[in-house]
Amino acid sequence: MDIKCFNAKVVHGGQAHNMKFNWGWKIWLLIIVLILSILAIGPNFFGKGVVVKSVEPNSSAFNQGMRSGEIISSINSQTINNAQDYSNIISSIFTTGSNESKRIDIKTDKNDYVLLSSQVPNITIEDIPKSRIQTGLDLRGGARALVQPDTVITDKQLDDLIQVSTNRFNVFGLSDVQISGVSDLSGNKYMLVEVAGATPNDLQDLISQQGKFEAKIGNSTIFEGGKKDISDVCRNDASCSGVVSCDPAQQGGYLCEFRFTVYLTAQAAQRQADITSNVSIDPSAPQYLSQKLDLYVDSKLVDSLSIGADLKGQAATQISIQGPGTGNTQDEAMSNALDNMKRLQTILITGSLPYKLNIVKLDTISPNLGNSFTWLLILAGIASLLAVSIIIFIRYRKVKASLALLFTSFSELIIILGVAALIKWNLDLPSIAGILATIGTGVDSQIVILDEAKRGSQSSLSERIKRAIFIILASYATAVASLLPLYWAGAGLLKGFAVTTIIGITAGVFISRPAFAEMIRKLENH
Amino acid sequence: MENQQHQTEQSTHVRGWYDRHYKWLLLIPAILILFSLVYLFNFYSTNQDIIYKDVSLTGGTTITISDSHVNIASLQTELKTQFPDVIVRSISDFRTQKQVGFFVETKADANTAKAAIEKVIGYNLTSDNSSVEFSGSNLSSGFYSQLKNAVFAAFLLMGWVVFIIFAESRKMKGIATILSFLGLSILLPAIPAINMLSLLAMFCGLIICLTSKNKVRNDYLISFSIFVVSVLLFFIYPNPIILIPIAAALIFIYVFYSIPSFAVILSAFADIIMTVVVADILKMQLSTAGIVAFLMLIGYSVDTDILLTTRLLKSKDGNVNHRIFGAFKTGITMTLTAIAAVAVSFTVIYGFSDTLRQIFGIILIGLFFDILNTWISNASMLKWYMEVKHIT
Repeated sequence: MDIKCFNAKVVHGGQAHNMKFNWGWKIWLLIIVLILSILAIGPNFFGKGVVVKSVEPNSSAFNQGMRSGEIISSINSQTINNAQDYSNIISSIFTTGSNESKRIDIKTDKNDYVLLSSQVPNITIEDIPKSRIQTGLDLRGGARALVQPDTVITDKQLDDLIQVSTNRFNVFGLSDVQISGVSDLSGNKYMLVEVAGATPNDLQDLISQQGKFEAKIGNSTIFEGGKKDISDVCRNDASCSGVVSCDPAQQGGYLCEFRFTVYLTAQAAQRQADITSNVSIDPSAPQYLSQKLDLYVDSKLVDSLSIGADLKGQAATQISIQGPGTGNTQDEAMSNALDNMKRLQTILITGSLPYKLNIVKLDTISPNLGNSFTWLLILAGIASLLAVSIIIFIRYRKVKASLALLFTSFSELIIILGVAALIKWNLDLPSIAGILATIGTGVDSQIVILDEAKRGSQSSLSERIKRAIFIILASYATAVASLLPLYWAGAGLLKGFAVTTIIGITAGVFISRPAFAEMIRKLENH
Repeated sequence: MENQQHQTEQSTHVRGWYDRHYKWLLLIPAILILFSLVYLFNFYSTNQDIIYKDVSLTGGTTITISDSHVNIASLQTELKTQFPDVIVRSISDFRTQKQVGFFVETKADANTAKAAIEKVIGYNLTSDNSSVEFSGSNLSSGFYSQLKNAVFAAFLLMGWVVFIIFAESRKMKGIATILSFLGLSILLPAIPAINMLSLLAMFCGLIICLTSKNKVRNDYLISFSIFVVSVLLFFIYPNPIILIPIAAALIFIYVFYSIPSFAVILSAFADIIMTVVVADILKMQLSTAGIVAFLMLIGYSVDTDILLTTRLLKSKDGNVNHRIFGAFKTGITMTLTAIAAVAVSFTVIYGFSDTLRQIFGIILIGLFFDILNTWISNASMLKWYMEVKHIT
């Protein structure tokens, strides 16, 4: 609706001004690109509901067919307008302390779902985005880590690293994670991990842990993490995975124990049988063997498990692994134990990385600070535009030409945002600085055109406009040349600046500024 | 009407004065450039660098906390005992002018800094109430040297583009192309795309040389040997040390074959070093964003210089002074709108974002120097050049 109105207004305004002549194709091109840009941005100020960002695999919502991207419009017949409504309703249904099963009817744009559960549904949601423009982590909040292996790696190894890490995040249950490989001007290679929204507490461990899991008896390795030795790990199933006990600890605080079952491959089970057959039975406790099964993560002893005497020489494929979690309160100890369990399970499933990793940069940005920032940036943008308008009006005292100039600058902004939305570019702070730089040079170029056209002189108008275009092209070439190196500098963290600026000045030079020259030519000839 | 006549008289008067004294005007930028160079040399010998760097370039932690009550001064004193280099600054909202939070910057690592702050303010820092940015020192110093190279590369390319646009000798354009792209590939050796581009450009440079009009046997020899030497260096000895002779050769070519190009490059250079000096005097600790601002500055600075040079050399309207004043009117409008826009943004963002404050601050300082360097240094050099060459 919006778009049509806008379009109609422009055309109408144009007809009113320029009844006597045709608009040149350059102006039409600008208008068409402008409309396409607005379509690409896809403004959506009135959308109601919340959009599903992720659904935990194998949860009941997932099994009923709910997928990310659906828009929830109501829960239990109560309308949901935004994320606040959603959390209010969910928390009113699931009051703490009650364990009985509740029925929730979720209505989305695709389907109706009925969930029966005693727990909050395993889905994450967010407000329907106001437009397709995506903001970067430094504005939206989230975490970003730049990880460097401690050895020089090849592109292939970097791909493998990304593969394993992606797998880890999936197993751990973090879905909104982007992992990519980046390299910089000196040829260093990094893995860039970006997590949107709130930062998970274990992020640092999850990323940088080499995750080398070993189960040893004495010095002989029985099995390691990964597919080779482990066929399956029990998780999300209370019958074979969970916290088994919580007790006050001797040193104060609480100590909880978790336990889960691991299924070994036949090979690993055989190895265990071979090794245990040589281990004697503990004389002081005859129900166990004299040596323990030691569990190491990254060469650090995590736990030692007693081995039942009946397992001596047996190729057992099912092993129960346990470990602790401590805390000042029982709840804290419980959640720590669960976290430790989840981490150990992740390592057991995904296996280890072939080298150590260093986190060379770790940024966690609070979503709350980002919000007020966006408003301030919009305020700064409007205020600067106002300041520029005032100077332009004072200098030229020509309403039409000045309005054309402001319209052109504004359309350059729209085109940059449109292209950014189209290529799914995340607008971060450097990108915004780039947009400001573009608008600045854009205004400069239009002033050149305006002045060349205005000057009383011997040369003809089109000659002067041609000269203006020459100046603009020359400035364009130098600007692109000077920005290009930035694309690679700093492991790509400043790419945004180079990208938005180059999009902006390219669109400016080839679309909006020629159109502006055309407008001025028409206005002057008129 | 009367007013306009008065203005014209006044400007004729000014023009007479300008014609007599424009060469003397060059003294102002010359003295400033000399002062800047001496200052930076001095600064370098005491600080081992020409700027103050913040944690994004040295490595360290920045923690931003939303808290409207903490007393910044006492927090700083308490943290100083543990981290002598710590900087604590408040963040305020432009609309209300009230403190909405603060940030702490230190070279210590994130966990140490976080623990120390938590101890002073008495509550835990979570991802809801705070942002933590940490960069390792190796990474940051790597960033810094890359950004420096990016600035040098930008300068090199900018100079090359300006020379291609304004120089006349085709052969020299070819040689400048070969040398500039050899320099580029040495500055940014790890980017395959740039290496390919450089080789291609060097080859094109050779073609331009060989097809240039003044066909003397020796010229072929000179161009060809420069090309061969460059390609050999490109493959076998890409050492940063040969950037010095390359830069010297390029400056030589610019001075002797196109004074207008040299004037443009010199005024961009002057903008940058003068801005660096002011940043140093103001004790600004530059971040990665600050260095990006210098790149933006190159763009803004060259804009007005190109305008001036084109109007003077490629237009035949009126006399030289007339064209200078015409260009001045346009150029000063350009610079003033940029200053207005940047100054307004600077004010709005001042209390809130260190990153943008630095970007806007540096551009603002640079734009003021650009007025001086374009309309005094560049304009006077061009006028002088046109007088000597009898160009009207």
